Amino acid sequence: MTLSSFGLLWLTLICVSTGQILLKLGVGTEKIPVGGSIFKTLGNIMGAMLRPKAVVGFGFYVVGTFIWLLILSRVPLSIAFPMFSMSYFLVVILSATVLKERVDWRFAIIGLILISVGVTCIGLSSPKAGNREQGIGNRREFYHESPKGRKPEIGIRKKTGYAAGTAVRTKLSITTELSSRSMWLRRAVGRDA
Amino acid sequence: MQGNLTPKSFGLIWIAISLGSFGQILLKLGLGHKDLGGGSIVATLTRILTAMANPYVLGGLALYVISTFFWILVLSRVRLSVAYPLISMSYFLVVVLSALVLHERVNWLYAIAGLAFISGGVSFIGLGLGRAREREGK
Repeated sequence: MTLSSFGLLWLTLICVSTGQILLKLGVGTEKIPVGGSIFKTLGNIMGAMLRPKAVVGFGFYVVGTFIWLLILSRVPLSIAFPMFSMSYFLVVILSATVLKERVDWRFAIIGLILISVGVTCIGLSSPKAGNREQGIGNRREFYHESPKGRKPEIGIRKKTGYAAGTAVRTKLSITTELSSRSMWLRRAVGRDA
Repeated sequence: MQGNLTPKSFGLIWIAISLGSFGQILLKLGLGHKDLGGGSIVATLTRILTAMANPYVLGGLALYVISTFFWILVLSRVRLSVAYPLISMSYFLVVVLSALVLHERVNWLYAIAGLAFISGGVSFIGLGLGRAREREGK
């Protein structure tokens, strides 16, 4: 999880939560009848979604889904999905302020604190930044990432445990090694000393 | 009392949770590991739309929509203080499925601690909303 993915996640959360609030405003307090057959209920739900604010809300939802797909293409699902629980921050605050719903704040605040602690744990479990995150944890990625002409270093993979990171890290270490060597050369020549 | 958990609504909740979780797994399966971002916004959007043509991604989105309908059904039957703790089960399910199906590496110590805190938090929020609503007499 990099900072930019985290920013994108908040963008999705804002889109989805705004969408929710607009849906709620659009549908209003008028209850959607859910009795009868499941198809009748489905029709009633669809009908309620055609109200103007609900349509805009649904639009926000679609945009949020697009960004979510972008995030999923970069971040492991086991990290990204639990982070989605941060949406409760926006849902609670927006329901209280915009929808003027009554919120029991003692419960809400304890709940939000617990969620933050949980999300922090999930964030800490995310492998360290510096390796390309989208491939982490997937064995297939390792072979995609390995530089041409090099055998996938299975031994290293087993040792470090990070499939994708290994190849990238190997690449990085070669680069740093080269650049430090050129530094050393330059120093030896006496330019940068 | 209305809003209590009946076997039928419990079943509906589990259907909603599993459909939603499998939907996410399908999305991730379909997207693979190619970064959709980069370049201009138009380029990114085009890449996202192209990725959506993938059958797994389409299937995932469909499951997501169907699970939303089940959630609406559930929320019209069950009290929030009961529904929310059960909603948080989907976080557990998604993480377990990511490990099993997607072979993602999961740091279980942090993951279980994090998920426990998250589901506790979500449950608390559900309890709070439920209590406020009951006081209003709705």
